[in-house]
Amino acid sequence: MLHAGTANVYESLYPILFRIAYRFCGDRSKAEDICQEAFIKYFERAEPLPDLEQTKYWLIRVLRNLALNHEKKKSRESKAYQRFARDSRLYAESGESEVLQAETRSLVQRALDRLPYNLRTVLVLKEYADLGYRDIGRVLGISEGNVKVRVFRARERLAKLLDGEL
Amino acid sequence: MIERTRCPAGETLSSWFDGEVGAPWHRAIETHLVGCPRCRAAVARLERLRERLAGDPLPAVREPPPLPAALPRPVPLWRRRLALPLPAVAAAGLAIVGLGLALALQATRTTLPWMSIKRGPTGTTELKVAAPVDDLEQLLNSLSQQTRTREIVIQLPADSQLILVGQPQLMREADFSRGQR
Repeated sequence: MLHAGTANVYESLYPILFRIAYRFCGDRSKAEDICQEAFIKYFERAEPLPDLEQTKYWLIRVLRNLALNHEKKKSRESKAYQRFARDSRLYAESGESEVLQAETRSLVQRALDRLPYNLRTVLVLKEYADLGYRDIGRVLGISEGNVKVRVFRARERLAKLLDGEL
Repeated sequence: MIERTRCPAGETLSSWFDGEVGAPWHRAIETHLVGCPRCRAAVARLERLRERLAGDPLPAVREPPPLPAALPRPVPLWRRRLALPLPAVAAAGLAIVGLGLALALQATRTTLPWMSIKRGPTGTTELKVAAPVDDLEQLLNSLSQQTRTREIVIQLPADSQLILVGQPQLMREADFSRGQR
């Protein structure tokens, strides 16, 4: 097993963590911020974890929590902004910018973004982090059976969204 | 085993597709797929979905920003800043104080034996100690270690139920001396 030295951890795990973070939140700069924050949390640990594999799981768990916070914040801000801009001409500008932002994302990413967060995380960890059900369960703190159900439901919903082209 | 005519549930097929189904069931599903066009179509759909997810372009990973020359040093636990809601802290504080008081009361009730010393007119001293049953053994040990002879009377609670274990010393001595009188 590789020793999880500081530079080694950073260089080895950054690409995969970025990939996961991007699929979680669908926003490049936010994904980079989340990755940075996860690594800072890791380096703040009093003791490094013994190997890269455990470090990866630990970082993915942190990443998932950070992305969840981002998701909640996004939802709160979106609701507040919609209330504020309902009768304002800013609404039109906001709508336009949202459309532009959505256009830059791929169809698949937009479909992923429409999945409920608990289904999206499981599917992303399966398809983009290449984790088995047991490891996904460990990372998310759920049972293997639950992972199995969520993966299936996520696939069903995603296929419907993509078949209908959203 | 899965019958040839009975299709596996969608969840099972999905986990089989991920290689998460154990050996005997894995083989059974493979066999089933040979004769079931509906399940083959479902698997083909899963394959298409996976290919689409894998083929979706990802923004190029930029070079990770270089690590700062001096990484943040681990902050000791006692120096970390905590952001806690005030009502929760107040409630926790009250709970800790209450628990401390309760423990202190409990401790004074159980561990401190009641004691009284009375001096008789003939120069004798009467010492009464009320100790909990838990400490009785310790009390007996300490008394048995005394070298000087004292008269010790142990008064047990009225509701004590004593069970005789073994043979009393007097009876044994009487048995031993039988026939010698």
